[in-house]
Amino acid sequence: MKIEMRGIMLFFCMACFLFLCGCSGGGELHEKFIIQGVAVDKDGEKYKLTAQAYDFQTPKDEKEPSIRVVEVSGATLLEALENIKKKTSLNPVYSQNMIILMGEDVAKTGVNNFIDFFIRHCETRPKVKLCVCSGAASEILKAKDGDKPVKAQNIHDLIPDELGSDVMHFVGDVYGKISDPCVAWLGLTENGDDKEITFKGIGLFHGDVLCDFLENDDAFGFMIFKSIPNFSSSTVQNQHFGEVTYSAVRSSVIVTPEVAENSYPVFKININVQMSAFAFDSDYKNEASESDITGLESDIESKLSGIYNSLLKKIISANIDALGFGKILRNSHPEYFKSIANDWKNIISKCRYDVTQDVELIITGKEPI
Amino acid sequence: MEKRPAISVSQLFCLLFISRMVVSMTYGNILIGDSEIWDHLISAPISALLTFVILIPIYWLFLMDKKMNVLDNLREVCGKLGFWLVAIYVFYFLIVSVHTVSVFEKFIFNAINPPISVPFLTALLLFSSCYGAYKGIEAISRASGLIFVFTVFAMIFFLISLIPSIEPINYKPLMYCGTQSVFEGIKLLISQSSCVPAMAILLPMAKGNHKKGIIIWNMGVYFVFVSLILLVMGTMGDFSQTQLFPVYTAAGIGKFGSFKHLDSLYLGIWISGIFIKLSLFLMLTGEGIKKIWGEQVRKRSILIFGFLISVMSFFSDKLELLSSPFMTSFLIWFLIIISVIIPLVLIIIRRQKQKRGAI
Repeated sequence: MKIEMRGIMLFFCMACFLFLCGCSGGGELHEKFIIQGVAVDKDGEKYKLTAQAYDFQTPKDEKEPSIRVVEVSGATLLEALENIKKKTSLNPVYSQNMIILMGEDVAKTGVNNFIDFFIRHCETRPKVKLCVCSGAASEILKAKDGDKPVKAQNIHDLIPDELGSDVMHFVGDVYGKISDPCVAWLGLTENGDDKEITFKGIGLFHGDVLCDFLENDDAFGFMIFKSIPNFSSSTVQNQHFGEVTYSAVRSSVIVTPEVAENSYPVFKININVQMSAFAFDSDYKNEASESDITGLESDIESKLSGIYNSLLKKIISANIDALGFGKILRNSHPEYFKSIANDWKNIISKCRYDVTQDVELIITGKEPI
Repeated sequence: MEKRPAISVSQLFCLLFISRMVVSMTYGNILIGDSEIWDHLISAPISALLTFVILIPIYWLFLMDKKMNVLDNLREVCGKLGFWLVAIYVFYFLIVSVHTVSVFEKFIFNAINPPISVPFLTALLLFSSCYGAYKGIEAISRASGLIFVFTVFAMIFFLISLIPSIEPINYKPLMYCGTQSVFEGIKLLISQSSCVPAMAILLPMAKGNHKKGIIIWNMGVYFVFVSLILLVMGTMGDFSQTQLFPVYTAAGIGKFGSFKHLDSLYLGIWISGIFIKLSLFLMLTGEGIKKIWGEQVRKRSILIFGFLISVMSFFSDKLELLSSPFMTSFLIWFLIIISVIIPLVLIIIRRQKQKRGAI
């Protein structure tokens, strides 16, 4: 009996080696196409996909692998992705992908047409940054810094995490059907002979369809609403200081919805923002009294009021809930929201939005004041 | 009476904690279907209370004779019928093992999609589990002690890494879509409480303060479950409903300093937990077989059952039934029969026999 059991155990121990095919099934690094960034565009009826990946076959130097950009197309995104293998004879790896850039055309036809792969595939990650580009997205991924392509990592770093410009937030908003998603808007700007990638603003979506862009002061205001500091700056004219440039250091927004019978909800929005004024007009003579600073503070306040009103008008009049008012209303007045949930997107423009603000100004820099 | 292996109460509940956590970590659309995971936040404390209630007959029976488990009682009290009732327990433990394997396969196939054959991977896991079951409760509980420490550290790490990503706006009002999900949650959580019938056999094997162990275990299990829901919903919001295994997805989101993509950590701990659970339930199956046919058959039966389950895993597409709503109801009724009805009947018979002086 003992010998019989030992025989069985020995057989199973030997059989174990048959299962250890993970070792034989593994691949060498140079056989893989480790994708860092993907750009999706429309090419007629087809999807044009540009992928930036590490190229371990022809490393430029020993410190880091060189970067390879490949363009493929297909009737569906999956077909295009499959074509990467055919074109490069390498196995694409998606787990290291950091960013998905969408061309304006493809975003306007609806992101749901292709995003499924990035939600379902076991290698893709939900926090992959998602952004929209004016024009073709492939141009961003092919942009060069000197003779080298700009790394997907650097493009990824342009977009603040707090913006929620990623697959998870986008899909969550589309799936939740209350708030509308928004993503970072990247573009190319001419700088002499070179083209630089810039974070231009915000791409607004209605459901999964791109419908508008926010730039300059609108984007600046949007970032304050989203409590994302240090995005860009704005300028204000002041009697004493001349033209003053300032940026938001910190902001917190409290939205309190009020619901009354037979009327649309009122959103009381209180914005508490700390602004940093760091550049003054050349006429300024390093002399300022307390009242001069208070005057500047009040100028910034009135400029910000204009920015908020313009931003809200732009978003709300298009029936876009990019600032999450629907979710706030649902969380605070669930029974009321249930009754209007199906019609929320039409009601959003009929609601009232009262903005109050509290601006704290700090003057930074090495110059005395 | 045969000499029983002895483990401590803390070892026993570490073992049961891991076995229960394996289910919580795969909590998602595959198990719950369209039910609102957020409403299961209410289901959890109710289920915790119900678990205490379900445990009363088992604990009461245990108090009547601390050396006898439910299988011993069945043999002693029910005569030949006892063999058939023991077979019901064996069948339950087998169903739980097959269900665990089915969830494991679904998880590996959907979330990892490895280049190697999933049934072969399952066969390897089952083979290891058979070895664990063959070695007995002492060996399994020693392994579980180690895995418990890793699990607790991983959970703390998971918690710390996800807290900064929580967005309060994702917490929608409870029972927003009605109470249906709450009831579904209760049904599901209770149906997955396979550790309760396991306790009917394991309690006499453990030395120490059982009552304290049961309370801490039950509270701990549901506390972790509630924390998981809060973390998953807080970080992913509506996106969690697009994921088959949201806890696993959330683990991939977590970031702690320069550590990120913690899903691999989660995977390692979870597979260790699956090993412990399968070992435990195969061992319990063997305990039942021992009561019917003796020790020698027990050892062989573990291998045979392990082999049969691994063969079944080759037909995993036919195992869809295991994650269907029918399965939830089936498991609940089965659980009530073997954790409440049979122990209660045994208590009544034993009391009557005690009154007559037959015991």
